[in-house]
Amino acid sequence: MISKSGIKYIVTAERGGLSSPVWSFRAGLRDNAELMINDFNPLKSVRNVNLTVMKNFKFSNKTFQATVRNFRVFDLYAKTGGCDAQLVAVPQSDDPKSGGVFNFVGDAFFGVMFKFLLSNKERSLNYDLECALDPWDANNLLNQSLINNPTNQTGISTADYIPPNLSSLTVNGLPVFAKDELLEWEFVIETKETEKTAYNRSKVDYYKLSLRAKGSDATITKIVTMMNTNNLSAVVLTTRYADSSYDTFTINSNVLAKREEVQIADNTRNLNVIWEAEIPLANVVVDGTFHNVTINAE
Amino acid sequence: MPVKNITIDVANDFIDSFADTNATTNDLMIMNFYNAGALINVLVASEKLGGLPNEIVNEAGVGYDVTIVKSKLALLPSGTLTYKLFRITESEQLATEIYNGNATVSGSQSAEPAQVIWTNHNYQPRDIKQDTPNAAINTEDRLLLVDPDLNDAINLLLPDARSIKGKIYEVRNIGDGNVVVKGYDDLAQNYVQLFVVNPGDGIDIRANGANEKDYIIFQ
Repeated sequence: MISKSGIKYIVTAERGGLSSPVWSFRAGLRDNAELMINDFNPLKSVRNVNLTVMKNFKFSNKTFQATVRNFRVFDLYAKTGGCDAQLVAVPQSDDPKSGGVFNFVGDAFFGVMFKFLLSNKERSLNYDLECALDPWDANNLLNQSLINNPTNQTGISTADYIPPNLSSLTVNGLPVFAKDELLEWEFVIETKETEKTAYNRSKVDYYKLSLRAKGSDATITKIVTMMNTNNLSAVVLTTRYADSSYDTFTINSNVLAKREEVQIADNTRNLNVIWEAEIPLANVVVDGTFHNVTINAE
Repeated sequence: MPVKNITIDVANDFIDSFADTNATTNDLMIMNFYNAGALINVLVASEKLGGLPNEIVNEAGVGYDVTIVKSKLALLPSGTLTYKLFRITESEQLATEIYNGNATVSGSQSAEPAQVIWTNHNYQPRDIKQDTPNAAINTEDRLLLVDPDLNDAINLLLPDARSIKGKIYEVRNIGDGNVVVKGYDDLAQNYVQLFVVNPGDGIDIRANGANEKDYIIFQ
């Protein structure tokens, strides 16, 4: 039988919380996603014979659901070492389970890596879920996918979509660039993998932060002013999520380290201000409204 | 006040429409029928009920004139009745008479019902928060605004679908967590999960009523 491609929906939840589901994220507005299943670190025998050690499951997805609430969900996954997940593939027959209802729960939970990106081009939340299982457990997971009950959720939804936008970007309370001078900007919080466990789950201890603002104001005055600003000054980024409602990302002083790149050329003249840092997971705090993120030095 | 005589032919679904009766979203339109001045125990109001046997429906909404639609069997006595059409606005909560006239009912009739065939729904949204993690939904509910916390969920426990065939619930998740819609399973003697409504999403649920948990989900 020629099988049908397609993923109906993907939902993640905190470990042990898939059935309700609690601390969940439903990828409802996404780019193409894929679940890859292949051998993990196979042994090589003589005459190039592969010997299975474990089967690796890796799910990669890019969504356009970069809300602070969803960042907090993945922040929890990173801080708790992973998540449960259910992936429901498009049915292959009249049986709604025939495409596979893959439950990654219990010992088959996923390790998580993610990237939260805000920029002038897109707001996105990319994530990779990965784990390797013993061949017996892998077989059981696949066979069980024809039996599991789907949690039944909406596949596609624009509920979490926020158009890319920048309300303000300040360093020490002063705008980095006037809005009309901005050429491009990008703010990224992403997990940094410390090491892999034996079951190929990412162990995450740090976030990598990067903030970049490129402006057309590259006057000598501006360049000197920016160069003389303390490299570890506080930076505040504000973006709009509704008509007059804003998400605020406050990066306190002594977190991000600044540097500048100046380009004076025949076809452009610009100033690129770049902040970067690596910080422990615990230093990122999201408030209860899910609209304020504070990043502390300690 | 406009006077309009209408003819109710039980052989046809469509009864009549009323010009210039546009309702705003939360307006309620009610039509009362009278036999020799006595109110007949049939309530017709602006709610899209749609298609159940012996049911009379009045559809109205933004940009639409009121249209009275009924099923094949109108539960009205044959002959000449009178009627009045009222509008109740959300802001004033007062019934304003906007049309009246005679209603000539013809065709084969069932007996005049002794019971109310439909009672008005609760038009006020019901707010359900995390302090009610297992919220029993009743037949008077209509619009449910559910506000679950991110680290928790709220279960909506639907009534027996067989007793409310055609009933529609609107569920809106206005919180950060999930709303889990559940129906009772007689065999398992427990509530079973029917659907999960994610934050920001909404669904409509219609009681199909083939069994106790037979609901149709409209996403």
